[in-house]
Amino acid sequence: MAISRVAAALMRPSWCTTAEVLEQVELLGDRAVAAEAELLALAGGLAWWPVGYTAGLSRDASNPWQALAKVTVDLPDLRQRCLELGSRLLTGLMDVAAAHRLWLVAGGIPLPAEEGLGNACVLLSPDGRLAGMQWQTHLDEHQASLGLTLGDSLAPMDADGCPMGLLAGDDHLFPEVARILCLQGASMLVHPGTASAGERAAMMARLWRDVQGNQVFGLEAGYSGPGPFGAAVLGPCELTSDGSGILAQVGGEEPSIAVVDLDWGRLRQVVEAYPIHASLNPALYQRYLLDAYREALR
Amino acid sequence: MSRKVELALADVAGRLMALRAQVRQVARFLEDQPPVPPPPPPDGSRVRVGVVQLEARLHRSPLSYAEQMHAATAELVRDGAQLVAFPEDTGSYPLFGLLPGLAWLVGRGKPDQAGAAVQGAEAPVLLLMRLMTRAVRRVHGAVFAVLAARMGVHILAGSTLAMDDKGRVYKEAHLYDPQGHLVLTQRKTHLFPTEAAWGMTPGDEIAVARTPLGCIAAPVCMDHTYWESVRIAWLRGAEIIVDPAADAARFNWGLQARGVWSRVQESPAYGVHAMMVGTLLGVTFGGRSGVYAPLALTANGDGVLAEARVPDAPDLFCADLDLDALRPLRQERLGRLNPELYGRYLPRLYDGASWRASQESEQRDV
Repeated sequence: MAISRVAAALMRPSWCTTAEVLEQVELLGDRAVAAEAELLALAGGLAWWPVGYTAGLSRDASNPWQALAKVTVDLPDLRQRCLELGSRLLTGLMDVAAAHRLWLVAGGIPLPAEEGLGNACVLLSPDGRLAGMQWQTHLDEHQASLGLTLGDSLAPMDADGCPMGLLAGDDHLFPEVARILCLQGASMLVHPGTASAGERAAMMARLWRDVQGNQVFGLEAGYSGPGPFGAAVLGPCELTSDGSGILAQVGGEEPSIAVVDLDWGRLRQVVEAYPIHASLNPALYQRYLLDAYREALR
Repeated sequence: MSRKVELALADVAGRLMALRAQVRQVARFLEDQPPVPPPPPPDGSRVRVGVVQLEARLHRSPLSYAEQMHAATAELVRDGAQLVAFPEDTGSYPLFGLLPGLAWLVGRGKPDQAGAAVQGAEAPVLLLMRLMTRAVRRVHGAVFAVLAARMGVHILAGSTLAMDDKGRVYKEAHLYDPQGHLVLTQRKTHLFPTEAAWGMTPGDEIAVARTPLGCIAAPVCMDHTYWESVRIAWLRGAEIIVDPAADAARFNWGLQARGVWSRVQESPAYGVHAMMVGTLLGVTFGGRSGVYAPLALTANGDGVLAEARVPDAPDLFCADLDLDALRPLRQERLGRLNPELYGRYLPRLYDGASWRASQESEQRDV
């Protein structure tokens, strides 16, 4: 695996202009470069900040999706506005990736999908190319009310030989997503999150579960907040001396990054000692799982 | 010794062992105990669950086993528990003490090396299980059916052993209703590597029991490492998901939270984690039992409703579950599933991932 030093960003959310979003990204990119990180995971919802700003939301609104849905749902030009701002931010992020020679992952970019407007996570290469994109595959009621469409595919993408799975929006709440990505070979999961820094349990209820359940590395970016657990680099518990599975984390109110060297050799040892994917019970799932979804949703 | 001969010998010896089970005496002993006021009847909304963090003890007689199980159940029912949960292996290894010379057999002539032999998979554990299954099931069934009926309570009696006509051995969790009827059997569907090395066989079904308390499921221990087993139970309506567990390790929150605590965050339900503690045949079990819920339903936002006061030592405690508060979370999560997406990928991907497991299974069956 070529990528070894990675960073996850804690960002201060605000309904602000695209330039202000990029200013914060630049700052965190500078820090990642200073720490010699090769990849920086940014938070989610980034292009929605300017969407909220142009819709007149106050700068400190909490619960972005709910606030945004309330204000923007009736805007006649919502789709066009989202596409313009999403595209503008994406271009700016590509420039930051190229200027810093960094792999960048960012989330919350509205882009045109096959049937309307989708919410995407993107992987940008150090030469400023769009190296991969992942649509959000699970929406909540607020996101659905904005007219977002569901993604219908999941695939890992390659970053310097490291197969990486991106989890957009709330997709990390659904263990199916990480399993599908990891069974296709993802060895690192990246979640540009929108949760505010809080307590340990809240972090463990998010990407941490998927990391443990699939024995991979995980990068979770997030928003600033009162607690110590905001952005983190995660791994199987066996990789940490305290058994926490948290390789590095940052929290608090100021933008910052958590940086870690990933030890791929030790990860391989953990998997070899007890390979979870080899101990699955496919006959059980094939017999019952898909039918159980159908029955429950009937 | 050929497998056929081994199975025949195990069958004969197992029948002899079952005669030692003394189930009539066990039933008489339990019926002679002072009555305990029954818990309040179910109201479909709130459930008080009692958890036994059970001390692993080797019992040389069914009566001493019944005494330990009775004491724990009675104390929790006195506290109002309507559902009492015991850990994995409650109905297996502690009853292996019925076999004279057990430590000598397990340690292959060196009783003090029994623990190392068990953990290193060198002991003839599968043979021992085949020998003991009939007897431990008789005692376990007699004790918990009578306890449930006498105290008017649901009991998830941890797991015991099961054996089919081909000599394959399973772990099997049992739930008894307040009439003493067995209303749920759940075979462990994902084995711990040591269990697989011993030659045990995983189950292939996930069951739920619709009871007056609510819909209950009980995947066993390692099953909770795999979200799929709990997801199936949850999709089938499980609101109370019991994890009878026995971990051969000291308590560590990170390692433990990978189980049912994590599962109830993604499949909103209540999780009841009952753990075995202490040392049995040189193997030390540990952990901290807990009652868990989605973060939003816990006062501290930590997903923990109640925990044993101490890890790695015996304890009993109760917690109250509010099923009315759970139901909106369950509906919200159900409404956001994307089964078309899962259907597109999962059957095919599971096939690819399972080659090693199926190879091992084939080797075991030869």
